[in-house]
Amino acid sequence: MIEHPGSSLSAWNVRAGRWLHTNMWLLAPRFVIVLSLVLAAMLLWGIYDVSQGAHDSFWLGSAFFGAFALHAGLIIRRQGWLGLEAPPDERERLVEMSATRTAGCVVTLLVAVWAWLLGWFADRGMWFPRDPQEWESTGKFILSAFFLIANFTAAWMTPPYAAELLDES
Amino acid sequence: MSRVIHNRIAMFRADAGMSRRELADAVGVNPQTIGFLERGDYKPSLELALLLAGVFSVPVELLFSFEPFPSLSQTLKETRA
Repeated sequence: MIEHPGSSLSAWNVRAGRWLHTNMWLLAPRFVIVLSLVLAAMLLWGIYDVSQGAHDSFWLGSAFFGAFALHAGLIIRRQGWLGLEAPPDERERLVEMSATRTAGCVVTLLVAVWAWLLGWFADRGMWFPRDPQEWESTGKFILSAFFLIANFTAAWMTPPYAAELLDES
Repeated sequence: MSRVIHNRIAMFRADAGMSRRELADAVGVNPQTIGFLERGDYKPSLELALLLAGVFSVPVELLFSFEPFPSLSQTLKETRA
């Protein structure tokens, strides 16, 4: 196949090369969306595991570590500490604030609904943490959910053509 | 309140012969933000709007408007009439 210098395949190759070289693909919006969904699935499986008596769930621990690492990586990149990007401007700060607010609202609402339901169904077999390890797992679950929702929302609010804008400049 | 704000940033930028990165550096934002502004996907703060107008040395209402800007051909027609 002949590849013309101006073809989209050539442009894709250049972009892919730059992304692989700088490791930017690790924190690209679409990758963050997929990774957040995978970690969310692991997290849900992990809390189910804990509710079934597994005090030290591998899935919950991995999801917590993954969510924390992803969140820390995104904060470091957004602040420009990796040297790949400038510090966040007003639009990026707005996206970050909106995502954090969304995550805070969703997690608070879910915890409130859970507590409310417990008031009705705790006596009828609904699971709730009883020992310190289960409470620790529940804390990890809530914190991970916050990180994942915030990162998912911020990535979702970034249009897919964002990377192309960097190339065009 | 979510009215559409039209802008002519791309036109003024092309006229000034500036790249997105150069304009972004001039007003202190990410080049992507200039792209989002040009596509109408982001509404700037008053500070950023004034900074952009300052770079092109034009009043801010020449750069941003609630009404769609007339096309170049339409403007030419009106000028000739």
